Amino acid sequence: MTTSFDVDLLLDTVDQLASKAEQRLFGVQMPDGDLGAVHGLLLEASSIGLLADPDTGRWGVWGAHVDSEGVGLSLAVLRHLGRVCAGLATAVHAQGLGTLLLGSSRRSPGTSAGDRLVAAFSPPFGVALDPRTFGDGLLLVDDRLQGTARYALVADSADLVVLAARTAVGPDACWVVLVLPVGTTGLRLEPTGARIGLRATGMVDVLADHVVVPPGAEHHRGEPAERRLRTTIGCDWLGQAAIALGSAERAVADATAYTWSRVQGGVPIAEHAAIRLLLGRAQHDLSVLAAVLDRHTGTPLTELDPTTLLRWGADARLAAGEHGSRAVTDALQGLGGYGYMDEYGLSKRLRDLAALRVLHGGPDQLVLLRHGLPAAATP
Amino acid sequence: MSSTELRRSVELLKPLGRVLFDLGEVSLWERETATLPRRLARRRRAYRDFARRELAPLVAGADEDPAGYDPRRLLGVAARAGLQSEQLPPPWGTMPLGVVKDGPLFHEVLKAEELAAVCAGLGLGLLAHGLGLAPLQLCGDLRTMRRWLVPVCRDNRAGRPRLAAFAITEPAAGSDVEDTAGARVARFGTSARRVQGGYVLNGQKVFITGAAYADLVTVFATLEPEGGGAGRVDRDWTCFVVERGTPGFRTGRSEHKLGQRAADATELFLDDVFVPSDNLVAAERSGWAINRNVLNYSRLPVGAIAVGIARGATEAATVYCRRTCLGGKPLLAYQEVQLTLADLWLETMAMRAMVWQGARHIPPAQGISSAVKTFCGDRAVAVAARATEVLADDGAHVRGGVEKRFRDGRLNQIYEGTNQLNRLALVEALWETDLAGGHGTSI
Ligand SMILES: Cc1cc2nc3c(=O)[nH]c(=O)nc-3n(C[C@H](O)[C@H](O)[C@H](O)COP(=O)(O)OP(=O)(O)OC[C@H]3O[C@@H](n4cnc5c(N)ncnc54)[C@H](O)[C@@H]3O)c2cc1C
Repeated sequence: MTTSFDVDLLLDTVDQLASKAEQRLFGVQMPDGDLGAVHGLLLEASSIGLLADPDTGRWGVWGAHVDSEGVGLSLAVLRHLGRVCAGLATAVHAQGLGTLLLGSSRRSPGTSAGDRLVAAFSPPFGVALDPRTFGDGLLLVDDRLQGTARYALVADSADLVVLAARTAVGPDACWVVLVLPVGTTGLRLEPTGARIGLRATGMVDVLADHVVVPPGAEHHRGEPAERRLRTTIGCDWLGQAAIALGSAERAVADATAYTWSRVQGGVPIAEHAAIRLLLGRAQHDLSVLAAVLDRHTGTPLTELDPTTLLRWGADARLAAGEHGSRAVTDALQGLGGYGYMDEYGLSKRLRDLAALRVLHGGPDQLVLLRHGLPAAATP
Repeated sequence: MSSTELRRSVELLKPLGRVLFDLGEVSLWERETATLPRRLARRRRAYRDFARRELAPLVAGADEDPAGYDPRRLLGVAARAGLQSEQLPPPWGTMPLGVVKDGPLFHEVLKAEELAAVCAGLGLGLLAHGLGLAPLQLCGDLRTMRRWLVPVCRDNRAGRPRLAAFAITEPAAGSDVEDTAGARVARFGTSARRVQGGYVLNGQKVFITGAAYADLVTVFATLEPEGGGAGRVDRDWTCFVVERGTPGFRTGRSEHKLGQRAADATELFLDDVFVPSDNLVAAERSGWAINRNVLNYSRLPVGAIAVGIARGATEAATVYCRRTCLGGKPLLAYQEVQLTLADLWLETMAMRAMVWQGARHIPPAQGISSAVKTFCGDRAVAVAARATEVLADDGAHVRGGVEKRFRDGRLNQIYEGTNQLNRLALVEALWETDLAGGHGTSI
């Protein structure tokens, strides 16, 4: 059982890493920081136990502890990292998602004990929950993997790729979760190209061309695979929301400090009602998002049925898209022209939030999927 | 799209009934163009063709690497096409005939939308020239016009580009130089001192669009008060033309910014810059009036830039939904997608209607220009954000063609006075007549 002392200690460690990340990433004048520093920071996160471990599935963000203790700790870590760099936080989150989807301590053929970083294919939720998919998705038929999985979040130097595939087209098919080494013949990771934000995390389309899947690479099939997938998707949405919250909190804090130092109209702009309205509304937006995220944090994941988790995740992601984005854009507005300049950091937060708002699907898709979930069980 | 049944049914109507029924398969752009006087319709077409031909190939490179983008070739092409000399009528410039009837800015808002629909940054780089010349155009002083505006328009018309920029903003005075209350207390640094044969200017400007390449800048400075003491923006402000190459006048860094990246926003430094009396724009201490009127005129085209951004996002989202298939049919066939696209189109139509209506006011009025600028800036960001959502993950990618519109649109809530300050300008403008219940109020 994790005590609140343990949690504080861990979050202290996270903050130490975050401040290192701040120096290493943003010591240079580049809109997204020094992206070359990301790999080292991830390894450091791994060495202090923040990065989920694909071997044991135990530690770090989305490690096995969520089953017994709930997702609160993972969300807190992501929120803290999000305050420094939403892209870096997303890379940590992605590693956790891969591990969560895998949910196994069995080693797969072709992988080695040194393998650490995981390319998490967290499928766009349309693929997973809605038969009308973007792209064709991956098919595993007769131990051959074929097709495309789009928008996989991948640390640049990933060793493994965790994938979800269907066994056939149509409603009778089932899901399979498998893990493959990145160098597997016929498997290609193609970068998706320039993006508006979250640039510290890699994103690829996973292209499988008649990949022979060795025995043992498959970890779950059928109902257990679908359950893992739904859990992973729910946690994906929650993690994105936590990262957005952290990023927005920092934006509002930075803007608040700025408005006391900037004088227009003969007084610090913080005193103008226009600014108080912007920042007041931003603070309200932050508390709405935080409240949504808090809903089931203490409940062990094993006690949350996947539908409740998905509904909660959808609410959190939608709240992040609406309230988190608005808090950041209002904070930016508080800086006037300076908010628009890379130098002040607010524009990067706006870009990151814009990317989070549509990561693995847009809000309308999310609303429709949420609406299609079975009704909550009456207590 | 009208069904065969409907067409058949319409055919059964009397001739007059058939005429009254619109079955034309004409694009929205053509329909709206058809409502314009012919001379403006011709311009609108020409602006669109120019933007597609000249701007489109430059968009990606200029956005990705603004420091490596040199606008001079485009400025030359635009000058030759007559886009950079529309401040004066022939024989000096290329202003369309009929401005008195159509409104002095109608062609300008048409141009702004067409350019921004392709790229707001490249468009801004061209349009800011009109802003730079606006003090010369609006000061009403024939000496100033003859000395500065005529030769600049003539050169541009002849295909020899000469670029102007407009400089009011300073490190310590942004909103303060856009706002009546702020101007009274502005911490304003740029000063002018009268000397033999002219003036000496000192100070610094920031965020000046086009300044990196401008040949001349209309610079606002507080002239030292007659009776001594500190100068005031609303009382002592004076506008001067400062030419590139004048000793003591230099540009600083160009900012790295979120969007509209093809247009530079550059610092200017003035260290004991001597300008002859000829460079004084209109009268000493008339700068505040000139500035306020420039903003009344320029906020309408800025609103039109926002329309262009929204339209660009809407068109990109539409093309995407036409081309992308989901479950065997195009996204466009899904009702939820149609509902969103409808929102994008209707918002853009509403914005355009407001801009065109605003452009009919002669002369442009503060309240109307500020309302247009604010509404369109806010809606452009909302439209671009919504377009991004339709494309989902592709919306966050450059190749989707909408994320740039979102970044670009965000500037429209900030420059030419933040949207907060423009709301206050609207209140100020309507105060006596509509809000506070003074004479002439209708409510
Ligand atoms: C890309 C870009 C291009 C530009 N191009 C030009 C140009 O070509 N020429 C030029 O002269 N300028 C230009 N500007 C300057 C632009 O007009 C100013 O940035 C804008 O007016 C806001 O001023 P500021 O940036 O100093 O913000 P500030 O004035 O510091 O405003 C900060 C915040 O305080 C609020 N605020 C300030 N004063 C008040 C008040 N009295 N009451 C209530 N709220 C208040 C604002 O609304 C804003 O939210 C440009 C700016 C940008 C970003």
